[in-house]
Amino acid sequence: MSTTAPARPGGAVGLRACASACGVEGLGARLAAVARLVGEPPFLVASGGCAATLASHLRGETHHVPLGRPLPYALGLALAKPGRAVLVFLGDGEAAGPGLGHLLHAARRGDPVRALVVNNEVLGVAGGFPSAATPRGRRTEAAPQGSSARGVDLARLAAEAGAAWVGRETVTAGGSLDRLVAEFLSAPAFALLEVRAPCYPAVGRWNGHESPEAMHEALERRAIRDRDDLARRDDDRFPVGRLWPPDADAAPAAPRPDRGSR
Amino acid sequence: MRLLLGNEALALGALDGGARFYAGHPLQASAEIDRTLLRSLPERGGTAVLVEDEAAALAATLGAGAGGLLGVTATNAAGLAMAGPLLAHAAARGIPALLAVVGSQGDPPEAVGRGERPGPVETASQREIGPLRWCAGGGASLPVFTPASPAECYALARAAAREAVARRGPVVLYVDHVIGHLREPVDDAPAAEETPEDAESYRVRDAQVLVVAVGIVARAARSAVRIARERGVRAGLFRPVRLWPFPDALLRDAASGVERLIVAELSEGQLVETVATAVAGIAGIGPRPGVRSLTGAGMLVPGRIAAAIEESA
Repeated sequence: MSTTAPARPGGAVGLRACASACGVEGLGARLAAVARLVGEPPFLVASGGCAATLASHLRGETHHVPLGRPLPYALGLALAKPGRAVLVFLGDGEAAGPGLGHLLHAARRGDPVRALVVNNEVLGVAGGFPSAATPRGRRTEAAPQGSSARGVDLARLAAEAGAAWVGRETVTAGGSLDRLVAEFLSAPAFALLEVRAPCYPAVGRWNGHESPEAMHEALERRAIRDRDDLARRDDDRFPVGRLWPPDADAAPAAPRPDRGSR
Repeated sequence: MRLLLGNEALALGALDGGARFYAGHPLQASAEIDRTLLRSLPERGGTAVLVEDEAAALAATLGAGAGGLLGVTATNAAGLAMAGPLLAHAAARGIPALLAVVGSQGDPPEAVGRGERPGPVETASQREIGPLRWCAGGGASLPVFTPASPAECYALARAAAREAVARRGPVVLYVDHVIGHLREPVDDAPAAEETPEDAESYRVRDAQVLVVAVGIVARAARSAVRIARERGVRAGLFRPVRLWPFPDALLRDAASGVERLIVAELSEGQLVETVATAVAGIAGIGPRPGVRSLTGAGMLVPGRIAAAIEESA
């Protein structure tokens, strides 16, 4: 992993180089390696931002579509190509903002697609503005006073809306991430995998982190890996692993909220 | 031959033209299109899905088009306003799709006869004429067809579906609120498939005054032409069937002998500039005084258009 990051997301070095600092480049390589083992999705759908760079790691036919609309576009594509896997890449700005309604409805309907969200808690490419997933109080490049609104918990909302499979990991989780990606790529649809990645230029350096590595370590400390530790969950900490469906022997304090009569 | 609403005929025409996918977010103005497709597509081996909003409906339609299934969706003026980036995307990427836009109902009815308060579908607005010209953003105008009867809704929808596939791009059907809800006989199993003309000319050969109108207004204008001729004014009608890109050359042919043009539309003059530009330079027609704009809210009835013809003669 590079120890340098550009002053702006993407910046003069471009998103691919930038993505080596936040780990999205590495995520793409892991995704490609795992996909070769469990089967490559033939169709990829993305719009813009950092997350869209992931599509370039895979060999599938990539469809770049207008911002906010990858999920419904993917629904049409999947219905036209039954039996062929469609993988959607989203950023948190899109998934929690203009695409949030689409995400919840895709989960509710059980759309035959899988969505991988890279959540870096900021509108990085757009200039460091808070996204709808930025935690309350977090400072960003364009909001040095701190974001005033609560951040959307994408994985939790997707599970609540009825997604068949939901997982979350940090981008530096190594083998755990590989195993979760493999499960995700063959999970029943609708499936959502949220990968947390730190954006050093738009968030980290505005919150006292000295380097991208320091921000990776801080992100890792926010991850809750022990289910007994769930009581310590707050707006800033998040459970990781497969979040839905819960393990058969999971403790009653499963991370998903009550799903009623479903 | 069946009695069908314009909206129903449009849906069946799209199916007969090859549409095999529908994604929609039903809206009151276009609900009969949604209902017909939801019922008919599965019978024909197609796929129909209801989604959360108009943008999702169009995005899914494009996704299906990219995947090899010609899709159709229907919306209204508000949905059209959200459609720009997706239509631009489809045009740029060569994705075939059909978009039916059912116009808004228009303002209530001062313009309709005194004391005759119209029923729920007897008024229309054509305020989508202008927005439709650039509905795909800054690129070229998309093909936009404007039927003036349920029979034409069927024929143009079928032709539009064929054109979307042949051109590999989005094609729009623009139905005003009255035409969409008018019930008339439709031959939905014609023996031969005819390619529709881009415009209809009615009694233009000897006309001094030419009315230009689309949709329900063109039907009123047709009656107005007859009324004016009974009163001794040689009037004619030019009706663009392919509204955009505007059939300039056909209009110039029709207008070559006329002295005055009247552009009748249920909007604040969205079509008149295009007509004035198209006929500019034709002998006998001044740059602007020769092209008159007749606008209305709710409806333009034949008597009003006939009066405008007589004033212009």
